[in-house]
Amino acid sequence: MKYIATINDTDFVVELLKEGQLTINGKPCQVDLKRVDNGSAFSLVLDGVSYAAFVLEENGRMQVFIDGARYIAEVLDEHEKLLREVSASGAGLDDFFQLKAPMPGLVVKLPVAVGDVVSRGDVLVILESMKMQNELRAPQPGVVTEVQAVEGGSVEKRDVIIVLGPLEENGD
Amino acid sequence: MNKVLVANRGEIAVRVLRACRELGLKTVAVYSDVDRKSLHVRYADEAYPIGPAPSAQSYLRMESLIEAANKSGAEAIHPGYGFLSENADFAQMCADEGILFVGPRPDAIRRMGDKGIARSTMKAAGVPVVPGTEGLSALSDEELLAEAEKIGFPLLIKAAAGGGGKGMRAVNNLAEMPVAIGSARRESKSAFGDDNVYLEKMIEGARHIEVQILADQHGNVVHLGERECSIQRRHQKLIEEAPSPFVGVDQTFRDELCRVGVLAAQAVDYVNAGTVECLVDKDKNFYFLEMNTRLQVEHPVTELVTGVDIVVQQLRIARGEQLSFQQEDVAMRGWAVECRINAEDPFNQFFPSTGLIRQHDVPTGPGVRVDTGVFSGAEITPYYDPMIAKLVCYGDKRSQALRRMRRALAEYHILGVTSNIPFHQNILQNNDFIAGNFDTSFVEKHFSLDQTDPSSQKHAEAAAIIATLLSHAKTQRAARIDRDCGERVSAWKRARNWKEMGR
Repeated sequence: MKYIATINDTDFVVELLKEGQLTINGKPCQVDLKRVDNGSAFSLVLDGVSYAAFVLEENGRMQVFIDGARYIAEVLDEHEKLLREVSASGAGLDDFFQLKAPMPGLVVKLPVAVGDVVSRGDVLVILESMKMQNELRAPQPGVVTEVQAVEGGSVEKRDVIIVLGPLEENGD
Repeated sequence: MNKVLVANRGEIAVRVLRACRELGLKTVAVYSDVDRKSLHVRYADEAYPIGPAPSAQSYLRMESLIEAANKSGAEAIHPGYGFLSENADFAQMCADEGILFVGPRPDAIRRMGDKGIARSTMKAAGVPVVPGTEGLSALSDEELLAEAEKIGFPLLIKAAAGGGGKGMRAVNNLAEMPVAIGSARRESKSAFGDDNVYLEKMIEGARHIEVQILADQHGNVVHLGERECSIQRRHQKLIEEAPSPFVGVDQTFRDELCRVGVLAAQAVDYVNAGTVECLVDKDKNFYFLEMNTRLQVEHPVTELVTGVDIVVQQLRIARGEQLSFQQEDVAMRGWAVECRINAEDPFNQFFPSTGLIRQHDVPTGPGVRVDTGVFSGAEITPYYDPMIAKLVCYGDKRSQALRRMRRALAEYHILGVTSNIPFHQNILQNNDFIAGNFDTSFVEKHFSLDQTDPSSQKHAEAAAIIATLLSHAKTQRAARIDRDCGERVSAWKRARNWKEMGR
């Protein structure tokens, strides 16, 4: 069985041969994976090298932690991978940016309004959470197309606060 | 004094409850609605709800705390740090109700609490202070602008009621002042319920070094040496150690610094545990910054090098005992380092991270102490401080303490919320940090975490194998359930197969 595992944007081809044997990018390995508790802890012994790993699955996304580093993983078999690539070539919303709340909090200040042109690094909103005021800045230049929060109001984690659209390029 | 109410939550509530238990005192916890399942509630002998999650409606509500104390029959209240720990009105209210407040007298809190008054008191007592608006209080925006020009830039705007870096802003020129005053006032109002601010000249290249004080009700004042707290981000301490590598082997300098610390405490007739914070410039000139009239977050590093249990001493002092030792009995031995483990993302501007802690494996072994209030299954809410644990390591020498800290950080596994452990690992590998060459601007100047650093992804192959085996096992299990509906499959045959992986 052949799978394509994508770890933080790098693809690995993993082919399962028989019990304890597989190839990764064509290289054969001896492997033994055991779950070691009722939670998320695993022990992997890979060609004699021992790894202590933790695995979290949330909203269909798998995260593997080894040595404190986080690896975001997606695993597809060959056919799924092919299908995904064909359908992924659609139009992108690349020029749009949605500013989402990184945590629940209180909107202290909203210094921008719909129609404002902002530069990269401009403050879009000041959010208070855990008694700290955090400035959320524009990661790219753009024009404010939507403001979905109000000063003094509160937002939940991942709520969209502001949408930035692309700058008009016919300014001349 | 037989029963103590701890008016706090999180790791510090647990820390104080532990000391009470060691002294054979009965304990009372209080909790807000979201803290019902917290460790401190389960650890205490009794527990009382005090209101909804926002601290203004629970941990800061004096009447609810007094009511819980009266209901439980607690004779004393330990305020921990933060919340009401430096609130003179609360200390007074306890006194009026006949409850012992484990801390200084209201008058000392008040004199040190208004940072402007504190600075003039210190100046009069012969304690050097950072030049600024000492002697003035309740300044208006216009007065602040005028004073700022007299002091010169860069300077700091600070919350008069402040502490912990909240409501503090660094300002480089007059043009930046109005916005900075506004945000400092707002943050101060929300953290302390008071929007007064004052100004202080910025000492460049300064270190933050502080002296731990213990004073009993019989006039005995001792110090427990100094702590180095220069590793800060946005004026929030992140790594502390005792002793200070900057003071190092210069015993004359240490003695002078600590002598002035004691002098500062005596100037306000201080009682109980307190900390005199100083800024020290590169020429070893030092200036009084403020006195924290409470137990400090980083007290464990001092406990490890002096062998004195500061919380136990606080409780003994509160019940009127004399200090059982004198200054000459205090000696610092070895070295201790503390890393504050916060639920915040060092890869994303240190944004607080909330959610369910899915796994919390703490480091153990020689020379390791972990003070925490969280556990697997605990929920990190946005209502309180993001600090979830203090990891403290002890060693014979600084180098051994740092080696142990590196080892312990690697053993510490927190899943479910993002922690700042990678930040600490980065600092602990920095050559300037290792050599003891750093000031309070160190983190801003030197710290950068690059997630695309190839070494941070060295186990990608192992991760790919784990992820593949687990998702394979999952699809196989799903397929088997489908199949089992139609035909009986030998369990024996299934047993030794790939799909058993990782079950």
